[in-house]
Amino acid sequence: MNKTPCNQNLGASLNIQLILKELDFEYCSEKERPGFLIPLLRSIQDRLGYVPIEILSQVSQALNLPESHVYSVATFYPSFLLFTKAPDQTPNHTLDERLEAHFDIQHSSSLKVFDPSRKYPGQMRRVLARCGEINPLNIEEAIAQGAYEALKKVITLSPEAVIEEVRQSGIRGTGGAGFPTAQKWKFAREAKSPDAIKYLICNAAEGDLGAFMDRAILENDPHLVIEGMAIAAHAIGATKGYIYLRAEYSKVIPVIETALQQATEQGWIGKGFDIELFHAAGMYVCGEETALINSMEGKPGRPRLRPPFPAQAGLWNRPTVVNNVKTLAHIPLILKNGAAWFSSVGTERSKGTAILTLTGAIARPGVVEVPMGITLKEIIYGVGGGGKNGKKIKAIQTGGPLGGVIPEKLFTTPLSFEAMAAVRSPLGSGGIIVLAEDTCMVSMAAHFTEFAQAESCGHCTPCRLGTTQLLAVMKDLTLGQGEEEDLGLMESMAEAMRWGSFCAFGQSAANVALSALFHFREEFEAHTRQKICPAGQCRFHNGFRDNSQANFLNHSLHAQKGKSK
Amino acid sequence: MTPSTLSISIDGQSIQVQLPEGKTVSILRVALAAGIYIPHLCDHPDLTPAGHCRLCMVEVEGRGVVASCQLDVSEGLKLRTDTPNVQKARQVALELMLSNHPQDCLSCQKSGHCKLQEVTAFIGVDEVRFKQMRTLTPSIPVDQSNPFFTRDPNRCVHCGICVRTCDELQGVHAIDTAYSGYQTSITTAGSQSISLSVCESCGECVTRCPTGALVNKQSRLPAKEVKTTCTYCGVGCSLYLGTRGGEVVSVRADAENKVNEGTLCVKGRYGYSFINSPERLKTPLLKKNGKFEPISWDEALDLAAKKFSRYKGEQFAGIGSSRATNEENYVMQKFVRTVMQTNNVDNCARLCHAPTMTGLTRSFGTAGGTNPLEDIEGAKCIFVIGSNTTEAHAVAGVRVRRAAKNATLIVADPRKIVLVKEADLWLPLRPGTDVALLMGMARVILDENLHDLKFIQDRCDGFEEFFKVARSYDLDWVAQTTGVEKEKIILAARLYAKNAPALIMYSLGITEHSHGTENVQAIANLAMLTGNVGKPHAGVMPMRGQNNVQGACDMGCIPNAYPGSQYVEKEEVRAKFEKYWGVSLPPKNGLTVMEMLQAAEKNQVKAFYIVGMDPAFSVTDVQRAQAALKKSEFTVVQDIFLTGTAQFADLVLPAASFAEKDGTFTNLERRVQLVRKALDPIGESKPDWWIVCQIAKRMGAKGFDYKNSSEILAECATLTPNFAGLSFERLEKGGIQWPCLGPDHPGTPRLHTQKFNTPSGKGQLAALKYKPAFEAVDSSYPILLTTGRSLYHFHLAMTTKVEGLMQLHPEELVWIHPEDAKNLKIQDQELVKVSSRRGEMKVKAKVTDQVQKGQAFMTFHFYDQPTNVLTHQEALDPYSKTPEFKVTAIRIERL
Repeated sequence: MNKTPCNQNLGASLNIQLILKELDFEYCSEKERPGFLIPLLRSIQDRLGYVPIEILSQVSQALNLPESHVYSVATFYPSFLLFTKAPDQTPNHTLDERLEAHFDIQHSSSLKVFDPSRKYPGQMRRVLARCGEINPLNIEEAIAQGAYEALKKVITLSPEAVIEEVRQSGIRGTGGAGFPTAQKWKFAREAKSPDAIKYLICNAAEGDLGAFMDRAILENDPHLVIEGMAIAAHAIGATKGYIYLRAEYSKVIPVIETALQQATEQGWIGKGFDIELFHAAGMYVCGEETALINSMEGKPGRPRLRPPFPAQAGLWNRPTVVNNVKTLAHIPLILKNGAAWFSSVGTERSKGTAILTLTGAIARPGVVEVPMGITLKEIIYGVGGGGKNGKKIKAIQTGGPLGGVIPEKLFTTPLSFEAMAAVRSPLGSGGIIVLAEDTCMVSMAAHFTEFAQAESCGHCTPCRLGTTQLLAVMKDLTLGQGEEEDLGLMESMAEAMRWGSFCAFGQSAANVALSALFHFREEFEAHTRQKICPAGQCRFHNGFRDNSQANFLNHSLHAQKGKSK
Repeated sequence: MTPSTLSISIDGQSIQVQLPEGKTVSILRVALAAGIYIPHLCDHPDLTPAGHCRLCMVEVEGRGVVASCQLDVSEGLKLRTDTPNVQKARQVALELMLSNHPQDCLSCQKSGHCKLQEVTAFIGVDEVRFKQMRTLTPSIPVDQSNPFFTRDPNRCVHCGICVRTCDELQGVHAIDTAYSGYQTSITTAGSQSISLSVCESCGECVTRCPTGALVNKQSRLPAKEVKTTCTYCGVGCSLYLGTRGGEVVSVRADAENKVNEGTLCVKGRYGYSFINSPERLKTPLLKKNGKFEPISWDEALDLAAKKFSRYKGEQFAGIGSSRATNEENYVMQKFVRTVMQTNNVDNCARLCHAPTMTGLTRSFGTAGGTNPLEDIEGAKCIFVIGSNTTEAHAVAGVRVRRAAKNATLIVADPRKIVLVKEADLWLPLRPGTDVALLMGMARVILDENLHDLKFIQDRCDGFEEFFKVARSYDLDWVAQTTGVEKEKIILAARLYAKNAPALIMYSLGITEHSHGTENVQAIANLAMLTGNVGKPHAGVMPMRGQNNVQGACDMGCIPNAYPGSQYVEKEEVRAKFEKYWGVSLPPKNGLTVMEMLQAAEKNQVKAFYIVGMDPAFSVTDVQRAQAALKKSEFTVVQDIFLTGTAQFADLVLPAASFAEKDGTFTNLERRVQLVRKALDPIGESKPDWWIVCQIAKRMGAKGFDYKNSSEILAECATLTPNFAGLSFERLEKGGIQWPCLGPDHPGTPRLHTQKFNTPSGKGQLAALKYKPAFEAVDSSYPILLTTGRSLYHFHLAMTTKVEGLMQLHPEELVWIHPEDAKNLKIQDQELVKVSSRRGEMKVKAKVTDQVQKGQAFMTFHFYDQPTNVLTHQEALDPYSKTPEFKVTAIRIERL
């Protein structure tokens, strides 16, 4: 995309019809017209550096969508900066950037993932085998190292046979939920589509704080994912594929586009199954498959009610499989080497390898691949080399912003879906943030709550107001204005959110705070009883909480969003 | 398949659930129906479940805590509504809401009927925990911009009911949920005030809002409510008028009525303040030396009786009212025929749907719409031609918008009306070229063999001639004449013919032409050609304008027929009425409204009795009409306001409004519905029927001793086979669609299901030749003006008395295309001069591409800017004598 510097008059001269033409709008069926809303807004944002409010009525007319709907979408996604005129300065640091700074995480877009000079003892590189070893812009280098061999084999197999092989491998979804992949495929295979169209979506909306595995794979070995998608498409009968790429990953776009073009030219895709890139517009919850589908349909990315499951009625009401990047990257290896090879490592219920991001206060941060079942200790100290600058490690944060924390004393826990869930901190998609001894767990929890509050989609009461209430309480705690009773309040709100929220986001939004409270209660109590921060991170203001002062929240919330009318 | 029955258990109580075929129902709705209360805020029976509020949590065996609005019942489901987990989930969610809600119930208008209060009372609050919660007090500005309701986002609980109402039910999409998380707000595009949005002020969201976020500005509660029928358009919505201390203070839609199913438009819901307007006429007025002076009823009635006695016969003209009840129109025509001894009686249908009477009678044999409004939803194709349904018949428009989600919608209209947005195809035809377009479509249907030959053979006459003539329409010529691309005409014909059942809805864009009758016949042709008549969801629906324009014609306020289209010139018919009424009756058809006025010019008509019509401003070329009225020797105007026409009267009689009397209205689907008295007549005003009867009696006439309107309807039923089964007693239970042939006859929702009502029993295909409009543009008057209604007004006198409606649409505007505006150097909102061959006026310009280049549009709602000075009465439709309102050549100039 051409990026033009900000100019006051550009809004008026922008030709919506021309942009739509570039987006191939004219070939779209009327029903799927709303699907162009986000790409169109993104083009405007990319060209102007903001989205002029006045242009929304033109967008609404061009797509024949109600203007209120266009506005609802434009305001929902953080990628779109709505202004009446070009902003004088770029918005302040985003919440993600602030959190990354707080947890000493290298910013996702500046991180150089595969540093050949860095060694990680104890790795088992299967999916990552080619990463860093080949030039991702050259398909021949990938082919020389085995790319598309599995696909060649698969097209001679029946879809059922492919699904069976995947079933036997025991692979579970690597996006966080851990749903058996073969089962999802089977549902979609058996689902009837009204017009024989089925979709496969590669979920690269990777939103967990400090997790860059998906980006690393797409950026360094895109053909592995494309091959995985082609195999999955064969298995489920998908006719169209999408790579749903996280908003912040625009630098990966040229790599993926080049790879797609080369794969098409060589005929690996494009014959009855082609793949398109969908550049998302932000919001963490869009990593959830139904919210992701809603956003592709030009709606705010709020989760849908299930059933129907996407495998039955997903994108445009057609059977749709949404698989994580890592899941799809495993597929060619399973088909090439066999299910037994895959499951030769791992535990009873967590097979194969896991791809992790080690970040935070760790000596050797980076993306690594290890067999399931080894202990966290082996990973943190063995692979990762222990604390950064020799600092002692207090805990790790896993499972993303809705996951939990595991204190050092529990590092004997094996890496697996089941064992980590048992200690209230799920494996999730594989991000591990290492927390050093001087980390205040209250402040840590407050930061994660801030993330949850900012990313709540607002659909349901417990999440919309629960995260906000929780954040207000957490902020009070870190200011020394919390009370003993606040801990009980946190627990009951967390419980109500878990039972009452519409989707998994709200159900888990209080998890990090709750997990921190569970493992580090004494630290919370020090904040409320003695008004001290044992780690010395919190700066206390003296005095007591005043209910009427809670309005500070509104101010901070408005500042956070970086949008104005 | 029969509806399935299943059994579930709620709190140990076994409940049998009857499921409608192919449908599922949520636990919540089943429980509520069974009398088990589950607290909820965001569920509404009219809308799809959303799962926002999370108060309706229940614990389902094997599934845990779930939202009962989102789980459909299934066989054997066991659930409890009162477990500790349920209570906790609910209670915390509620406390979160309360901590984010203003705590000032006492000063909130919704207090007492607030759903948030209701759920709080049921669920209760854990005081300790609630006190511990932080008080989040949003302070978002309150939106007062709408004249009728207030939006206070601070009291919003984000149930989304307003959004779903505006989207699912109304199809307006004025509001949506913007932003995310805690900042989520329900707002208009651009977060502008609601008055700047596409909001149509229907108030449907206000009626459904559970809290004080949306409240009516008029907040007095009614002391009593009376169910009646709306007085505005021909849709005939049922509503409850709420009164307090002799004043109407509220309007509430009747959810049980099939016509509107609980929906109302801005006029019906909010346009009631005219009833208690200080400008209502309160005493009879006599003009003395050019000034009106109040006189007593006795004086007034005696004077009218004395004067009318001098003008019996052809020199008298009586105009009934399509605003008044059936009974009043019955009495009026009886008075004119029996006492005044002339058939010079008409009503304002002459200016709108008279071509529907003549056209549909010629084609189908019956002067009425063929289908009920409920047939709109379910049709596979809806063809709307010459009807701005969403504005002129807003509640029917809502049905069209809803139906369009699942049906093919074709809109033929010179303007890009609101419905075009929902349409699959828009045919922007040149005004007055309807026959060319419709016959062109017929040709495509014949060419492509899409016609229903069996239906034609079994049920229609005239196919051979029709075939020949239709085939003579060259599509290139049709395209050139109508201004619609050939491909679109072909596509429209295919879409209409291939998507049965198909419904055609039309209105004044079809009828108000110098060949309106043929336009109507052309529509009927298309329906018959494709077999789209006499079936559910297939037919022809004239969208009749006034609340009782159907009824006024049905009751015989037309110069050629007694009640029920029993023709004056048929001797046996006349004999029947002479016998019953006990007088001899004039044998010849009388004059129509336009003919009356033109006869007055020649002194052939010398006295007028005008009831509830405003011809001095509502007919075409009003200067000519006013001159004619001035020539009249004695004019009595009977109305609720001192209308523009009343200024030309010698005697003005104050009539009671619809809220102050009993009677019946007949809507556009032939449904006769009760009008019930909610108030005593304002001042000394009297129901029209009473006034007419008093004059008749004072002229010595017999047969005008009715005690109430019920007796009048009874007499009409005796004399009219189509209405034989109608009585107030029956109508008390709900409206009945005529023909209703006897006390046990259920009425007729759909006409012509077996045979047509023509002499041969067959539909008459009309081999129509295209005739251009009478008025044409030239270099002096290069722009073609069409006129139409605004959503916010009806005609002249009523809505202009309603402050809020005037705020929403304060003045006349001439809509012109941006290119024309550019050529004429006219800016938006600039005051311009509009002139025609008849007259001129000053009006502000609205520059918009909703009109086409070379065309203009105006409404006709303002006395101080009377659009009808421009229109002409040179050519009338030969069959119905309706003038050509829709085609006027004008010139627009800068001042």
